[in-house]
Amino acid sequence: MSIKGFMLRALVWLPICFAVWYYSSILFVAPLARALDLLSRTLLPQLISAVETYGNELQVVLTLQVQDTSTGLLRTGDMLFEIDPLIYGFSVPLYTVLVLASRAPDGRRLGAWLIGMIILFAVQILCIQADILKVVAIDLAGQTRWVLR
Amino acid sequence: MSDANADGRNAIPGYRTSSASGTTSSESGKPKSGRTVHRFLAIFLVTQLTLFVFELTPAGQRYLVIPVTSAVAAVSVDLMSTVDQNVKASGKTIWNPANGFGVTIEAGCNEVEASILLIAAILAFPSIWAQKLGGILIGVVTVQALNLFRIISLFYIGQWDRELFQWAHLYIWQALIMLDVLIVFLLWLRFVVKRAPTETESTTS
Repeated sequence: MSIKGFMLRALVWLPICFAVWYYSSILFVAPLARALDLLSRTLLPQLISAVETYGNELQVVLTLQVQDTSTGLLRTGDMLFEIDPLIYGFSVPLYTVLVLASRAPDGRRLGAWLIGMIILFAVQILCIQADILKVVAIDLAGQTRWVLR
Repeated sequence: MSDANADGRNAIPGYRTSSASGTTSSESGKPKSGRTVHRFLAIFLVTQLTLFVFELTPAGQRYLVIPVTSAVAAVSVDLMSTVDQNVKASGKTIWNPANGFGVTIEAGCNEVEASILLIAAILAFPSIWAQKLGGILIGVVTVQALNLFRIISLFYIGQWDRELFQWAHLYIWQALIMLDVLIVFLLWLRFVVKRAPTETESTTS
């Protein structure tokens, strides 16, 4: 397989795959949200009450307890923040481009693509979960310290 | 991607994999292709891990990340200033006073990570040191050249359309840089394979 031919095919497929990925990203985000919801609520059940889809973004719902300064009572409230999962997902269209640009038989390409997608899904979960924990532990440290202590 | 021809041409020591019966090591009987791929993966992963950890250390930040980031910012400004007199710069920040748009070149914008991937791949593939060093030097320069183009293009895209800037910055340029790394590695592989001694030469020398 010539590298020049491979490059040309990759450059043709690149905008197509990126457009399809971006405009259908709302579909890709749903399984990510499901998996992250399960994982986050298992890791920090006292703090994270849900990870939901919010368009093609993820919305993390934190349940926080704060003390009312006037009455001294503990009050429960929700705090929401969004995470863009697509910044960890650009490898999905890129890998698809590489598979499509290759000259392997269709069956092998499909197999390689499916295996790649499973790996990239796991990598995305890991990266987004790390991002959520970073936001919870560092960016919102003042509000979440009581749970993480 | 094939690394050697079945008739014995362009055989790389340790990477001769194809024959009619399937190549095996005569000493151990273990499939040679699997062993060499495992070796490649092991060196690739260990080198990456080592370099990424070094990058995160204070010494790595001081002697690698900060100087490279500063150099990328300085060269970007120099290049832009030659064609656009409106560009102003201060340290890592480049802006256009006419419309107030500016970009700051941060540690993640220097493509040190992409260079690390390329270096790890080149070091992991069996070849002579001159080829490795040449590949790393030319490859890193190529990645950085594309990175300069990326920064300059993002600066002008941002002045034109902020949404497109975000899209190009977060998604498309990341993929293009990775594609560049892959293509540089493939070109280097082809260069190495073409210059590898033939099987006959290998056995007689």
